[in-house]
Amino acid sequence: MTAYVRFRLADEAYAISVLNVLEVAGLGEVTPVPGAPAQILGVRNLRGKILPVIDLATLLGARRTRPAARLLVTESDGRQVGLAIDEVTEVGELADPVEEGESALLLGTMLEDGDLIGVLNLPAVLDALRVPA
Amino acid sequence: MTTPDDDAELLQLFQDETTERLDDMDAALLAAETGNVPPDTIDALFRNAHTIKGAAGIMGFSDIAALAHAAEDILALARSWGVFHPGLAVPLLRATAALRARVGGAAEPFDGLIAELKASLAALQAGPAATAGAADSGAGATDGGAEPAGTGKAADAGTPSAAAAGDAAADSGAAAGSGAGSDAGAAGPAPLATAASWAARAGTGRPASLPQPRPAFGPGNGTPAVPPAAPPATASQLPAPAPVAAAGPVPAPEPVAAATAAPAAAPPAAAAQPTAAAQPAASPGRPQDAGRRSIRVPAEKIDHLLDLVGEVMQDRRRLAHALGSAEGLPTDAADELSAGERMLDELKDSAVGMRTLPVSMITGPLPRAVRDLARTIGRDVEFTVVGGETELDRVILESLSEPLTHLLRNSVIHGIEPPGEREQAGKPAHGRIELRAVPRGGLVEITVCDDGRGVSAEIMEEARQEGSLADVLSRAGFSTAGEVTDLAGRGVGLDAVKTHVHSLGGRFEVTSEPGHGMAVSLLLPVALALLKVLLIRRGGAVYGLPIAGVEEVVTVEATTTLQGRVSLDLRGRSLPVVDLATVIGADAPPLPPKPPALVLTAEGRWLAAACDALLGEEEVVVKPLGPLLARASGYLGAAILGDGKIALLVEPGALIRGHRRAARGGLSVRALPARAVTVSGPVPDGGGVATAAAPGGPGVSGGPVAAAPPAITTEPAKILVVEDSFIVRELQRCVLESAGHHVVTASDGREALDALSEHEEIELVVTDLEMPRLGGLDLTRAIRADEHRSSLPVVMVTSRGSEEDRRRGMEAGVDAYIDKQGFQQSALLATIDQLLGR
Repeated sequence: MTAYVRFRLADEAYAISVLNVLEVAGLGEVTPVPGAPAQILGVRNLRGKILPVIDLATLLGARRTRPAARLLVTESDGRQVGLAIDEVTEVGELADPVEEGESALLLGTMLEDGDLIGVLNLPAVLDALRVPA
Repeated sequence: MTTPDDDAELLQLFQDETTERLDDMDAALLAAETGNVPPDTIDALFRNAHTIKGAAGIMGFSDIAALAHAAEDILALARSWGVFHPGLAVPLLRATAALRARVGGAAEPFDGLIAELKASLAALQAGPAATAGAADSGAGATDGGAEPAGTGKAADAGTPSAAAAGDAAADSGAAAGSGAGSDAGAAGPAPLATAASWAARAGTGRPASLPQPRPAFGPGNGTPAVPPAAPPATASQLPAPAPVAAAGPVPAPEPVAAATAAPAAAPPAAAAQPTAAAQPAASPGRPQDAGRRSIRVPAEKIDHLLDLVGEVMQDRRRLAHALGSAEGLPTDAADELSAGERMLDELKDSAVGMRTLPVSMITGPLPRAVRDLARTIGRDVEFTVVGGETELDRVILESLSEPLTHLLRNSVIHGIEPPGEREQAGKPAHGRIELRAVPRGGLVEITVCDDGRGVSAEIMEEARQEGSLADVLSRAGFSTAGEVTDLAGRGVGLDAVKTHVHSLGGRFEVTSEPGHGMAVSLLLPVALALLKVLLIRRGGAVYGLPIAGVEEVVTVEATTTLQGRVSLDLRGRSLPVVDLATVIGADAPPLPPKPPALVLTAEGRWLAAACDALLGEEEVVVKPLGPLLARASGYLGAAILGDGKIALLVEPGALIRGHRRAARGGLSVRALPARAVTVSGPVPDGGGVATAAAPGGPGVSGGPVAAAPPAITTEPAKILVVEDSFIVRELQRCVLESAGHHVVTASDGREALDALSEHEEIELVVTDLEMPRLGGLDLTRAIRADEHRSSLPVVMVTSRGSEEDRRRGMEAGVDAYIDKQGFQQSALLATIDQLLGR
């Protein structure tokens, strides 16, 4: 049993290990970086730090109906990034994901209360963005 | 005890320190070669060799210690005499070079060198038989003496200041061998003939007289010679026992054993307080270090401090921002604020100061490198460094080492002529190369200049046409070397240097006077973390461009438009005007009328980048965008402004490159307002240009832009543009490319013929009439005479529109004329379409 932050992205449900999450904040003002990959919304000033903000919905292919409102500040291998999400729904324990997902960006998927939850593989997400398209 | 990390750190420290010392020694030895050796220089040389020996001993590098020791012995002798013969410089320089290589990781054995140094020492000592053993550790001095004397001498040898040993050796040598000049000369080994014979001369002269005033210090003086050794006495107490043991059993016959024993013992004393030992030994090259205490701090800590200072400054700006709206601040509060401001400025300066280092930090090995290279290729070069105390960011400075070496190599190899050639040209036989560092406001200008042959008149002419010598010379593959040598041409590396300078937000310039020399200047920010930028706004976002990269700011008013491409006449130079948003690929509403624009130059191109508004100049803390955004190249980083907003810092060179890419590809076609409005009718297949044009609103639209002529859409063709004027050529290229054609250019008829054989698919030629080497008429005749191309359409664009010219043109086979004066791109494009049958 590991603690996860569960969040919504459009009408999809995801979870990420609390060990990866530094804080949850408002999306704030994101400055677009022209020339950056489409999955990067831009950069945000987080208390004097330049934080790249990833458009997680675009990256994961979730169909977005309204702009993201919240920001998950995450860290993996010393790399800090913000993930633009709709809202955090819950922080708590989940049974470890049992089913291997098809997506390399997910550690796996699981069913809980009838919801299909994708468990985010943060290092894979970051790596996916670094590799030139 | 020490973790591997500690070891690595220690090793790094040892490498850094030893390299510094070797730099100092090289500098002193090079000066010594010319015969200019004040006594304190010999002193410094000696101390540096000694400290290297000690540190190497601690680190367990016995070979380094042994070689340093051999050098030290020679220097000890020279020091005791107060005379340094120029002939000694060569073997010692060889030793420093070997040490440097070894510290840098090479693994050449030193045995030969050590033997050589010992031989030269022996030659120096001159007095042959009597002093054979007296040499190295002073053990010989104990000949007639008892144990106590031995102890005393050994202790001396082991102290940081082995002066006593050296003195003793000199004394005994002089005492026994005075007058034995010829003997010494004969005894001296061949490679060091000069040193040996000099030693012989010296043997009869100075050393003989020197000991006399100090008879108490002579050989055989049974009581330990404490007085001269007084300063280091305490330090020597620890190491003393060891050398005694080593020196005791093997008295005279094996000086080598004693010699190696001594350094082994010396280190603890020298290294017990590395900084303390290091400081007093500071070289003549860094007088400011003298007598000052310093501590080594990891660079990250300083970076962090600077980061924090930047934060506080930003905080301050935010506060000022907030207070700005509150009227009537109490005076005492206002006073406090401005006092705080001053202190903060000071704090910033000193934090920046911690990150900066004097340029002399990296120039140490340069004189040596220049000298060695000049000798190798038979040049006579006098190299000077001016302004070595000028400070620059540590990171920038470290990154400059290689570029500067490259520039100096260029000067030695390609700039400075051989002595004979120089004399013929009425110049002094020895060439001069200068490396100069001058602070210029928030920037530092580093110039490498020489009084060599400079670049050729042709290159100067090319530079005049292209606008910049730097760009002509740094064009990939360009070389001014007549023949390709293994020492490489001048151009290839210049390109790398230029790119590097641009990536630092700096500027790169080259000037030359044919026959009289050349100067390459790098204008660099003092601190990488702090950058003076011009803040501008475009489409709701704020961007910063380094002040160093902005030529000037203009208002886009009277523009001319060709095929939707807007140009601006700036003192006779036609600059393409682009929308900043378009070039970097940002979404933005149309520009206001008469927008301000920044004039930028790089790679031979000039560009005016228009924006919504100028916000002003500010010194910002540069923050990296991080690895995720590494692909969004063209940014130097980002800065957080007083109001908390982020400004992306744009590298000017990237804008120009972006513009060039756009001029060739489809990207900036969105900026062609006229086309966007006027494209009508069916869009041809594959007309990426035309379709891409549709979504864009008016880009750089002021009044004149709207009046752009209608677009003509065509099937793309490959067209050769032949024109000797760079500006006209590029103009035509732009026109043709924006109509979707592929363009190949040539600057005269001959190049054109080459291009035609290289690109068989060329369908049409647009040529100028008057050009060097091969003009437009002859080019046309040559095309007509070639059976493969006899029907290739040729359009002549000329300013000489007389009937006579036209007639001659038609006779030569020109298909159409376009008047340069009334140059209409639509007329050109229509003519081309007609000729291509489209």
